[in-house]
Amino acid sequence: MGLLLSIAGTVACGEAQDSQEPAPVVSPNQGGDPALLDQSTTQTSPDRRFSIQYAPLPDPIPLNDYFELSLEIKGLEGDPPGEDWIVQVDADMPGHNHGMNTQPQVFPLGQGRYRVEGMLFHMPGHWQLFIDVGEREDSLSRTVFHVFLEHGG
Amino acid sequence: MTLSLSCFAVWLAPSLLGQVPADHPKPPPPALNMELELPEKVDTGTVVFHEREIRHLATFTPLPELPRSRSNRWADDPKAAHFGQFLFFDPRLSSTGEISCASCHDPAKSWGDGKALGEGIGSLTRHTPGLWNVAYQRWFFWDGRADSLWAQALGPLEHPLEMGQSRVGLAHVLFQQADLRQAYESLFGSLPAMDEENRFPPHARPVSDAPDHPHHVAWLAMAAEDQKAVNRVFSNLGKAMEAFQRRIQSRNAPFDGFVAALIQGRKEDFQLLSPSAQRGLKLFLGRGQCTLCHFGPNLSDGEFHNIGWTYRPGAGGVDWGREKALTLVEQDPFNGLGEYSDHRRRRANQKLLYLRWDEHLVGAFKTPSLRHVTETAPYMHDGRFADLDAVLDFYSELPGAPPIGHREESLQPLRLLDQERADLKAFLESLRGQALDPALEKPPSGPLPEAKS
Repeated sequence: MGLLLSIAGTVACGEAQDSQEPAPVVSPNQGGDPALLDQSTTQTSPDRRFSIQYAPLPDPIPLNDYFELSLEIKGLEGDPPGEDWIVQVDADMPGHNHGMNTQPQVFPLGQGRYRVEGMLFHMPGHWQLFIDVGEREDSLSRTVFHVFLEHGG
Repeated sequence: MTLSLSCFAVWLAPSLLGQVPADHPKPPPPALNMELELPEKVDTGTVVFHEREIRHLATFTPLPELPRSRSNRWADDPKAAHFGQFLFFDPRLSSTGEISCASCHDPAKSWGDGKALGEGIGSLTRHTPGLWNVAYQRWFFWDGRADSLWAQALGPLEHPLEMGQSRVGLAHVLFQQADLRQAYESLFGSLPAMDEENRFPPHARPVSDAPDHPHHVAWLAMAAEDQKAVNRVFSNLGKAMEAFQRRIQSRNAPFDGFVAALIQGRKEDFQLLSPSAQRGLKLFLGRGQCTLCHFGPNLSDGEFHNIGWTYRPGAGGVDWGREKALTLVEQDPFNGLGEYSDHRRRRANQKLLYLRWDEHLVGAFKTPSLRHVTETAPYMHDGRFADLDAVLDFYSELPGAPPIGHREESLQPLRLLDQERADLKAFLESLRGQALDPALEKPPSGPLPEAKS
């Protein structure tokens, strides 16, 4: 990603430095090229039971400001999760060893629809959005979405 | 490439260019949306800035509209700001009669004190932060244990090592000092009958961690309605002080002019930043990775990170930072959901609704603003670094490991070359904004604005 350019080393008399298109500001140990990230907003859960789609509000996701998510969870071969099912949302920054500073809250709206409040991505870079669905705490199936957030994006 | 930007230039001059007149204007009109054409790249003759970098920089400047302070209905009241300014410089608010807010937040020292650790009545364990653009912060104190600037202002007043007062003692001061009483009552209404000794002891305040403290015992002996009346007075003092501190705004630094020149292609203004400062800015945006945390108008995300300094011998031992503050802000009776808030609706206080107790917040402290940073040494929450060279040494080498929690793992040793250090320092120097109206840097002649003839 060109993050380790030796800037001082490129300076020459009368010549502006660094004519290369800069990489986005991401930490060097995040791994992966953001251009290659699958940032689709619809995924199938690993247990193949549900199609999960999210939509942020506002859209696109703002850097370092609160946003909400609308979730729609459809059963691939049956009903959406029941009213007593567990649906949890969280997010993490791979390579940073931390996630959000906020604790999101999930509000069921019925028919497999949910509203998620209290999301805040406070740093630019690669975020993993986790949506856990299951009948019990010990049988949650985690679906992972990828979001790449840029300054001024 | 176009960019949707909020443009305030039309409205700003001259009312908010650091010179807020006594007749402060009404809240600003909605921002104008402008579509800006950004160049693919700009060659300043020293550095090439690409569209991605210019788009990024356009989120740093100009300083946007003041955020609303929903929990304080006096936040933009000029008379309250005048009173708050008078209080800010008034040592009568301390138990010794010798210390004011300005004793540590000295306008001549970029609203800090120039010391490693704060010193009020006694010695403190954290560095006194400067106040430039303080109204733009999301959380207050290094650990964010206050959710508003007015709630923050109450902490030092009662801290035994800072100003050493009690809220009942402060209400007595207001009641007994004729000038303060007149100003207070003209703004907030009548003070409680503080001369009724059986209702209001000389000093009382809740001291939750020392239930045998005489202030706490005296507080518990008061009637609940009298406690509330005093809390109301106490909160009003903080609200006036917030109204004043909202005027401490940093504008028109060389950096701001340079970014405007990049956006607008005004080559004649590229010289606002020296070649060294331009290289420093490029490094700040790029390899330095500084903008992972230092971004936006204050060059701070306003959030909390553990960069490894949770223990400093002589500074109070291990400091848990944000992790301990979460409970404090949640339980603070003066938070935005409490009965002294002027706007307690859930939506207006969402940052209190989604607090997260998490291991990664152990030893985490708020990212400081970099506005005027060259004037605010020493550095870090515990003042451990005497100068910017020491700060750059740290980011260059990342020595040691934190004794508690874990360091923000996005940090990588920068291995800065000597020229890069000089360039970064030159860039940081460019963040020093224009001087404030001198009238804001000293106490006004009285606690109320002079009547216009």
